[in-house]
Amino acid sequence: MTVQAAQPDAGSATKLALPASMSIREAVNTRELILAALQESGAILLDLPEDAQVDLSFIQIIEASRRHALSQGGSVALAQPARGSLLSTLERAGLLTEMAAEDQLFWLHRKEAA
Amino acid sequence: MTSLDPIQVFRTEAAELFEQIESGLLDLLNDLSDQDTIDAVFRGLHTLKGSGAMFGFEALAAFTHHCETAFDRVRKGQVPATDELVAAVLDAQDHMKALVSTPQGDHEDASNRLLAALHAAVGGAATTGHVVTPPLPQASAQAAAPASAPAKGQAFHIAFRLPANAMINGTNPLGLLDELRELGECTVKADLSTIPGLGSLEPTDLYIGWSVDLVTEQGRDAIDDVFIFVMDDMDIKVTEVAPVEAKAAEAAPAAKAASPAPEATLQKAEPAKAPGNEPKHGGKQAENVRVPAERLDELMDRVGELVIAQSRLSQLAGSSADLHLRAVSEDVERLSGELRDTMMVLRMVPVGSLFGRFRRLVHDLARETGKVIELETEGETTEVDKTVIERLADPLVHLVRNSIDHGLEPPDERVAAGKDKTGRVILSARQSGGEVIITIKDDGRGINRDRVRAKAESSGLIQPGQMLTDQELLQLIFQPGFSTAAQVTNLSGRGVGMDVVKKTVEALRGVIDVRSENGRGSEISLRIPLTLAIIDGLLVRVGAGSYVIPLSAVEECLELSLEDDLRSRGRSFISLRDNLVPFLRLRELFETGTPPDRYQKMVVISTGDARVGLVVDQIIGDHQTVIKSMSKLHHDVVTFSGATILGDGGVALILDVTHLVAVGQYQEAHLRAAG
Repeated sequence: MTVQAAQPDAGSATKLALPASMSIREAVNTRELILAALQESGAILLDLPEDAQVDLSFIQIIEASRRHALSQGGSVALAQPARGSLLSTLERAGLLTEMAAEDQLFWLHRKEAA
Repeated sequence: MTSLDPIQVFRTEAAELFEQIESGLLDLLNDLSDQDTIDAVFRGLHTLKGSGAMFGFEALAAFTHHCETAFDRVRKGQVPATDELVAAVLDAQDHMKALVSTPQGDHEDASNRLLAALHAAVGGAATTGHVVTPPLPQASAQAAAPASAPAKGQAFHIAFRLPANAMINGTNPLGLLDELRELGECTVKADLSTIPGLGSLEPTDLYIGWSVDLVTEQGRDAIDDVFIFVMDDMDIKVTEVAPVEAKAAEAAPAAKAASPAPEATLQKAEPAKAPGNEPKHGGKQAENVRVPAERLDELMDRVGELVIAQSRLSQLAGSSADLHLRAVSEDVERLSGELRDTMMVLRMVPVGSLFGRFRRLVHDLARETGKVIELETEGETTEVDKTVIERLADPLVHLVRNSIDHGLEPPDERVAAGKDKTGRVILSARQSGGEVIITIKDDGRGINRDRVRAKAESSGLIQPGQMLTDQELLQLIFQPGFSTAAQVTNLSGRGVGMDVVKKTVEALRGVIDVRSENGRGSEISLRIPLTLAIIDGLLVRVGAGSYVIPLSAVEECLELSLEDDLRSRGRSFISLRDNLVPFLRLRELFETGTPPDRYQKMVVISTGDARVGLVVDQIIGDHQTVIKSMSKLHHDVVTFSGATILGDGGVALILDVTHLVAVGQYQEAHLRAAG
């Protein structure tokens, strides 16, 4: 896991490359990793591998990161819109139902009607 | 921030599941048609499989799957529950434990052998197969797709929140949602409002709740079935919403709303949550906290040191004229006493946790010996210090084995003796004062006293024809190497064990009583102090030394005048409300070499029905006594059970009440015998 320089289009955000597996087994580490990155740099860009496998614990960690960043005046964003396992987990968990605009922007990178 | 190792958490949870499964299986042997028990065993196996798979114990999950499948078929009435099936699953469960403790080991042969037995037990029906992982849903399609036609059935609104530890315990919330979707037209909405900020997040806890609108033809029972494994621990509200057709028609727009269509959702966008407004973890608060036992021991040690420091403070304050210091000292004394009491409660564990394991033992022994045995347990809620529980486990195994192997007769012998063919073993616990009494009772043939005496004489433990009280004779069975079993079996009869039982019980400052009636059975009682750490004591002075008598054993205190003392010399009995009570002059017993005080005191102590008076020079008062073990050099000192540190830094020995009462009773018996 490495903390990389921010993408040009992500402003001053620090890019955080996440591992391919982020299930409950890795939840403690994932939390620590993101928390450390947020403390080091208030704005982070999460880079998930295309084949990343996630479960609900990861969704919760990301939501908690958003709350944390908001309360600290920082920001969290996904480098790519949710896809694969992440998108499937969001759907199965009912997070896409009546999804708020800012959540659509965050998870799906959608700014207007599909 | 520290978090428990998930693998260790799983192992702990698995141990509890094993107990639950085993208990269910043994219950099932009493009534093979008990549907609730069958369901409970199935649930246990299911949870074990799911948790195992989640935490990477693939071999466990794969193996458990076969047992689960077998019980699923029983549950559905496809095959009957039989003794053979229960026995096969019990054996399989032992193997599962090995798969949990040593997942990397070579278990293949054992797995195949046990699965063959399981297969045979369910009549060769399909227990084979592969681990079934929850089907990945067509959820996205179902959840997001608008209903093309009005759904038929009942409409329900389901709001639920699983316990915080659901995920780490192996429950897959997404699997539950998938199952709900399989019931019909379904709209799932997550409630994320209770997710805290990252700093407060317990990453393995579940914070999300759900509300689900479901139209199904399968009725309320189908919904309950989805949650059958977690129903007891979760918050759930299921509401039937509207009549069938009307509601079904409404389901279409509801399903449309499920699609993440920005046009629709932007209108309903909620305002962003205020910065720093991190909601508390909602839902039902956890009612129990799992704490490693070592931490309790550490805390106990600290409380012990606090009590000693408080004792020093009390002594300083007592010799000071400073009223403020005295007030503070009294406050600290009260608080440390309360802390000690709270700590004691924390360490207490119901003895039922110990008794539970004997059901399996008795079951196995019944199979091995061919005896018909019924185990009864009483007083499972009696609480004992956890250390006592841990140390008593092995001695009780020996005693129960002995009862079954030596005590209970084979069925034909019992019938010939006019008894029921089923032998009974009763395991009971009760509290009596500062002791817990654990009794193992059987209705077998009883201890053959003649054989005990003959064996003791032949092995030189006693002289031929030596006079012994009945209790002394029966206590011989606890001598090292003593066995009256004509035949050595796997269970007992090797003479190894009963002496270890006695040593273990004595190390716990306990005592063993034996009662036995020829042809009617035996009863062995272990009387153990409730706690091994801190006790309320009565501090006394004998000569120049201080001693502590456990307050729980003290019945009353009397004054023994010099005249009464002189009058009773040579007899050492005092009449107490028309009862003669023997007493011991501790000054003489301890050979202090000091003259007695003018007004000596007598502390009457008791264990069970036996009483004895202890003559001391002075009663100083009550004393919170932190028990320190005697050194190895003093392990053979029988009059004292330990030592404690006093407020002035001095040491007081703690009297072994059981031993002193026994000495007093022995003295009484011999004086009576001498006329």
